[in-house]
Amino acid sequence: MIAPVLMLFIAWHDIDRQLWQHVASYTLPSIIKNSLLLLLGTLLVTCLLGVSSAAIVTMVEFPGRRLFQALFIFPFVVPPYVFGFIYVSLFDSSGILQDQLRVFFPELFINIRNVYGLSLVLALALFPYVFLFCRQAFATQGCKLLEVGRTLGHRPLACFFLSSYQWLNLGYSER
Amino acid sequence: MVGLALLLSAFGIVASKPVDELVIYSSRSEHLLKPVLDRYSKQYGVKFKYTTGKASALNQKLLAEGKDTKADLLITVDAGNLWFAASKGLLMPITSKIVANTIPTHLRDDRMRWIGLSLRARTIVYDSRRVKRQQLDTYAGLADKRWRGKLCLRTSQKVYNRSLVAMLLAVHGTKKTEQIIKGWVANLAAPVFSSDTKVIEAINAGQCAVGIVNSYYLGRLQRKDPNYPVKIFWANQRSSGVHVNISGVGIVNTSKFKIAQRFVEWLVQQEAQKIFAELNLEYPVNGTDVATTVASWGKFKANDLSLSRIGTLQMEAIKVMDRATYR
Repeated sequence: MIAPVLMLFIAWHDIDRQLWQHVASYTLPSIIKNSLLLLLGTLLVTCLLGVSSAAIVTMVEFPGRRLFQALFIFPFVVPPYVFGFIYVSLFDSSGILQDQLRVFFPELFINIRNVYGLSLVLALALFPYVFLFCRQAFATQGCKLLEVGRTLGHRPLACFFLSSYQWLNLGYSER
Repeated sequence: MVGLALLLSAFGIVASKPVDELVIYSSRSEHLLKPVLDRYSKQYGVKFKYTTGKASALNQKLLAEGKDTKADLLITVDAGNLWFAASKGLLMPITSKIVANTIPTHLRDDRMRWIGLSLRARTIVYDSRRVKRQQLDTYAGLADKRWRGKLCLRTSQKVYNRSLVAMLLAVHGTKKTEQIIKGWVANLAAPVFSSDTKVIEAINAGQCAVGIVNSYYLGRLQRKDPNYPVKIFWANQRSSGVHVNISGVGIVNTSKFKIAQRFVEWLVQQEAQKIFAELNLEYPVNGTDVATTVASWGKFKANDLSLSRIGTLQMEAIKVMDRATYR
């Protein structure tokens, strides 16, 4: 695994300085900007999907809850590039969805091939990691803190954040 | 006896592959290559082993393997890739007179280290419901303001676009070419696409009105639906001609030269050329008849700039596209 990285260092002395200068001036800035946006976007959407799905299947009772507990792990078996293909073929301007929408809105062309779309695709592939950890944490948390919060007059969402924060704080201070 | 053979082969004293076997590194897809190899195997008993992959990766593989490579032939698309392999000393000159007499000089390396096997034209396609043929003329014309928000292009990362821009560089020079590319970028109706097929589909969907693609991508769609609304337009007919490129072959330095060259000779003749023309709707390099769909597009004037020259201009083409923010 380290071999390709080592090769990069070995090849460093062969580098064409003029070419590197060109890359630094014209392509690196946009690559760095895109990478950072992608990092932030993926982080945000992954957390949102992972935490909310875990909270729903552990804290809310609804028909099919156990089934969803298993289904939310399934994206593990789909590589991100497969999600990418599906996403583009379904939602791109010449994809199935927009084709149908143009029956009613002939001038509708929504660009989905951007950093936001890519963040969503990566998040769909990665959120099961967050889901698994959060589900475990929420399942062992018990409901006492939540109940205390409710009796003190907090709304359900506020109780969730407060109790989760307390739990995380406790976990942190125990280290 | 068997033990001795094993021992000798372990020390590399006995060749590890039989002499009637050729190893091919190919960036052409398996479904386009296999029928050709199968036909040759059946007729001449030569067996093939092939590795398919991206041209740049195969070139790096050849470089890394050096004289220990098992590859006999390198088959890739776009002269830029073959030019790179030749410039790194990976290929040896083809000495066959049959090949030299068949392949026009501008479709081969000047030292015959690689040759074209089939010809592909990269030209303008348009939405026949929204655009009249008379409105179209040249690649440079697509930079005009009247195409604002109506142009679709494939990514500049694709070697086909690098070669096209290299041709523009040879025709117009750096300054004018950069202006043309900037004009293209300003006219884009959508971010660049990952494939030529997606460009054509976007035109069909009405997202854009014109685009630049390799002709066989349109041919595949027209073969399925003869009334497909996206049509072909031969660019630069009153000037430098349509940009053409090749899929080509080179014989690797360490190959079994005679067998490899005999196979290359067969590739440039009628039988193999017909397979290339039919399978991927490309233009044969030896004047063999083209497929029906391709014939319906009519004849065109091709740019006859040497593909070796286009190879040397590739790096400059990338820099110009970067400066013009063509991603």
